[in-house]
Amino acid sequence: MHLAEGVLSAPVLAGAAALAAAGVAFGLRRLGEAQLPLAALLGAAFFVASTIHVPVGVGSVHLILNGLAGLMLGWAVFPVFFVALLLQAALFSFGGFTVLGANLLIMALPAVAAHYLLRRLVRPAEDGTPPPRRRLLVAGAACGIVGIGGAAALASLALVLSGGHLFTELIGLLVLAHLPVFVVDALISAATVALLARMLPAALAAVRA
Amino acid sequence: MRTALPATATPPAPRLRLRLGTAVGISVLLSQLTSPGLLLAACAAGLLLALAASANGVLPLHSLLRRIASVNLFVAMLWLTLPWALQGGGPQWSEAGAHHALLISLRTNAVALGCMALLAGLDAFAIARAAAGLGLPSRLARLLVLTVRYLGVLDDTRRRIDLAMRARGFRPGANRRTVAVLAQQLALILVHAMLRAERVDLALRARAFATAPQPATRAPRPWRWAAGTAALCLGSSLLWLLR
Repeated sequence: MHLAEGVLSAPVLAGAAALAAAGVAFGLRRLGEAQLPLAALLGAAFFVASTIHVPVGVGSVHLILNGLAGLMLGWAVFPVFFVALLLQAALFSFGGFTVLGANLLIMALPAVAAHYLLRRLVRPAEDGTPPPRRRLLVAGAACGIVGIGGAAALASLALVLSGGHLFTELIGLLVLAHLPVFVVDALISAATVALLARMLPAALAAVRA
Repeated sequence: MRTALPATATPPAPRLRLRLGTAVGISVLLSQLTSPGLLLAACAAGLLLALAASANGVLPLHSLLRRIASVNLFVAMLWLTLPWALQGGGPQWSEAGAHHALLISLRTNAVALGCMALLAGLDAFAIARAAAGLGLPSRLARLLVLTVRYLGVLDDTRRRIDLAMRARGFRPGANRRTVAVLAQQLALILVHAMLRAERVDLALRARAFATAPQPATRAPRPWRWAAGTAALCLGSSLLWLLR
């Protein structure tokens, strides 16, 4: 979910950039030197996964997976998404440099929320037993709901703060256009969390505190 | 994902930094312009430069057109909503809304075309080098370089899994089977990334890599963030009101 250049007002851009910079600095502080390769690999994995297209009706949607990334990375999602958004702006013209801070907040804040809301649901028990499959499915689906729903809410807030009632219909259209992504992201995140618990339980055990 | 553009000689580091720095600078400048004439001139200049880059072979024409189309998807949404005011008798044309949509469309295209022209032919490694040279904190610069390095590796993994799935007759559609198969693909990519991270960690330890925290990246104290944010918001609000 990228807002384009030239839409948001200067105060919103500046405020979002400052908050995003604070998030990146905090994320880097929490990210130990030894965890850099893991963060980079997970960041690259989510970047690659975001190119997977899922057919919906006559078109297709691509995955966003910010909730799932937040669940696995915690605050480190800020620097990881900063890198991804910078590359997307420079290489593919998705988003842009001025709006990078706002787009980073839109993607990363709901991801951090997903981490704190859902991490308890996916942690294995003391004896290493993975959580029940149903709970994993709920946690995965909630990743999609919190991640995409939160991103849509924050994008709407940024637009309201920039243009007031002028953007009301645009917000409605933006939310409507992201409904298929919302559903697909929730379904695939749910199945992925359940699969990860079976394939590599350590992946979920490593969910950052 | 195609992060690697056609093989071109990577420009020297100062020129890379200058190109990325200029792209960021014109993005900031153009995104705040309110004169349609100036923005139209910037669009025309950006388009000419991007077409010149395309003619020189550093920016394939199909890639340029695809990027222009993707930028204008959002612009299309603007034109579907902004110029129309919903009143008692249904949607009515609004001059103010149309003017706003025109300004945003011109800004979006001017910034995108300018950046495409300036960054044409640079691959992810070049962007990472340029960004690292523009004063990113050292840990963030290392994260950027490592991410770029692993993008190719994991993209290869995705392609291999994709090929294997198609070889077994998988055809994506809007159905339950597609969700299950794509979730498997995603889980495999994540597992592959985590196992590789484990190997990298072992290799670093085997080489006696010091994992002690480095003091290079330290977040400023909270009051400094608060003061900086307040000053930035106040300054930009004043500029915005005075323009």
